[in-house]
Formats: sequence, C-alpha cells, structure tokens
Amino acid sequence: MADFSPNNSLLLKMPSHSPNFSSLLFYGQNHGEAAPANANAAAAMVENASLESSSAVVDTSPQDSASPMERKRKTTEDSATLSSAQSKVDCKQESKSKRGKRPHKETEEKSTTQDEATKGYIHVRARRGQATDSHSLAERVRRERISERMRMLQALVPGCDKVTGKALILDEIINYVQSLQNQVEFLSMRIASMSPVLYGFGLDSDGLHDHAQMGGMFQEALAMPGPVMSQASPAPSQAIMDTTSTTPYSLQGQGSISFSQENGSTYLMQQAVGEPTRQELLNQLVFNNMCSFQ
Amino acid sequence: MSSGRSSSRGNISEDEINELISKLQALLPSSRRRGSGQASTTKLLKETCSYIKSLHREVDDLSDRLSDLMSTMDHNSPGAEIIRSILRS
Repeated sequence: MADFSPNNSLLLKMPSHSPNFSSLLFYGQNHGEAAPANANAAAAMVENASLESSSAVVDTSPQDSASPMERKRKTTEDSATLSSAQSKVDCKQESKSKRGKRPHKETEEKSTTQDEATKGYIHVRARRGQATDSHSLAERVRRERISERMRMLQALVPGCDKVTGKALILDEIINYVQSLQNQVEFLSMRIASMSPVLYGFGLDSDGLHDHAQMGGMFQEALAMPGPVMSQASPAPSQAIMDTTSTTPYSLQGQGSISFSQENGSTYLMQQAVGEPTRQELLNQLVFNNMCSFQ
Repeated sequence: MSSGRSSSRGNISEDEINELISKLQALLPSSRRRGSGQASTTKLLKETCSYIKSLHREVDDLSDRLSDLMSTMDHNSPGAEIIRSILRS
C-alpha cells in the first residue's frame, strides 16, 4: 500500500503483501491506519526492488494528542538490511537498523523530537559502527534529547550560540536566567513604587510600624490598577522625603529578600544588583511602604 | 563566577556539569516547592526553556505597564519626581 501523506511526510511504497517488513513503519499519524509493524523482525530483509530509497524525513509535527495510532517510522532503503536489534527503550515496536550502504547519515532524522512521555515511541537509528545493544541505545536516545533541548536553549539565550561545550552553555544560561529574574524584579518594583496605593503589602511586625503610613504617599496621583500587590494599605499621606531619611530596615541588610505576590510569582531579590545608588534609592523608596516577608 | 569550571586541559568534568545543572535547578521556580532530589536533565532543560520564555513575556509585560504608567502619571506628585530621578540616573 502506498500511502501518500501530503502533510506528514512519509511516503510509503511497499508492497502490501510481503510479510517480511517488520521494520516498515509508517509515520502516518494523521491517518487512521495502524501500522502493522511487526515487532519480531528477526531477519527483516527488505527485498523489494520497488522500494525506492525514499528516506523520509520525519515530520516533527506537534504531537497529536488524540492520535490513536502509534507513530512509527519508515525505514526503507533500497538495499538496507534492517537489523533486528530491538531496543527496549520505552516502546514496544521499535527497530533499529544499520545503514549499510548509505553514505550520508543525515537523511533520516530521528523521531525523538517529540515528547514521547505517555504513549509515543522513540525510534532511533543506529549509525554505522555504533553499538546496538539496548543500553547504549537508550543512552544515546537520552543524550540526543538532552542535546536537542540544549540547542533549543541556545536558540533562546542570546549570545549563546557562539559558545560551545555543555558547561559553557549551561553557564551562559544560568547567567541569563539570573539576569532576567533581576530584571523582572526590578521592573515590578518600579511599578509597585509608582502605584502603591492599591498595592499594599501585609505589613510585617518587624518594626515597619511607623512606615505603614507610607503606603499613601503616592496617593494623590497614582491610581493605576495592577494586580501586582495584594491589598491596599490605606494610610495618611506623608511627604516622600521623610522616608528617605529614615533608618533603613533590617531587611536592607539581608542578603536576599523575597516576597510573594498575589499572582503567585515570586521575585527573589538579591542585593547584588549592580546599581548601588539607584538601587538604594529605590530600596528606600519602595521598602518604606513595603515589607519583606519570607 | 567561580573558577575551575573547566580544567585547564579543556576537559569539562562531569561534576562540573552536574553542579551547573543543580544551580540551574535552584533557579527554576518549579523546583522550589518540594525537596527535589530528582533532577532529570531532560525535564530540567525543558523547564528552563519554558521558564525563560515566561520570563521574556513577563519582562515585556512589565515594561509595557511601566511605560503606560509613566505616561499617565501625574507629573507633579512627589512620587513622580522620585521615579523620574531614578529613571534618569
């Protein structure tokens, strides 16, 4: 049966009657057909000369959650001998094949790009000269998934594609995530400081008593809505300049202050934000009507 | 950052990578609730991916809100003064 899947990408040209293709897997996930890929490919020789070497590129279309059939891969070549190494990597019908005669190895992609957590199968093609026992295959699958994710991350993090090496990439990613977190927290503090009327914090008992009144310091102008903070703390307005002269809170000496907010996001603040004067000013401004609670 | 990330020979030891991974795990918000000893690398990386994306969105969103806020703020309030001075410096 020759199936042409226009959107999906696998051409299957096989005679339908020959029972020997255990490794014939079609990737027709949009079709309702179940592939009779026989798992017992003891000596699956694809002998048909009519098989064209259509090494199908596996379409990494998003996983259809309702796809009833198993996704399988078609591995046909003209003279490929399909080995019977079945790996037990979380699938029932998987077949590895060694490409005997194909010079380039990239013509078939691996279908490991999908998240096959629940019901998919991971099909891996063993390259020439690679071990085919189940352990190393599983290991290789895992490694490939990891490296694919790292590639995705590399694409996300700017400036990361010039770096090579797992550790360096990870380092870059860590730095970037930290800087993004700082940025987010800084921005949100700015916003919070600009409209503090609605954004009161549950005041701590730590001695922010006389500064609870600072909640109203912007009261005259800023009534911007914004579900950044939890509830409003009504307070008589005070001049802002008073707050800057107050003694700093104990929290300013803390290493890290985190306050969780209504929308559930947590901003972790580290004192290592590299803008000292500005940050201190902002600290005094903001902390005088916010409290820290951990 | 800490030195000794990669040895002078250029070999990056497994331990360093694991340390990096655990650092990354510590940054992720999803691993903060429970005592997460399990750190499947694949899941970690995937979560990092989505976390970075969400951080991007959040930064964009906050910046938009901040700019809106700045534009609608009363320019005479003392708060605005401070904000402006902060933003200027």
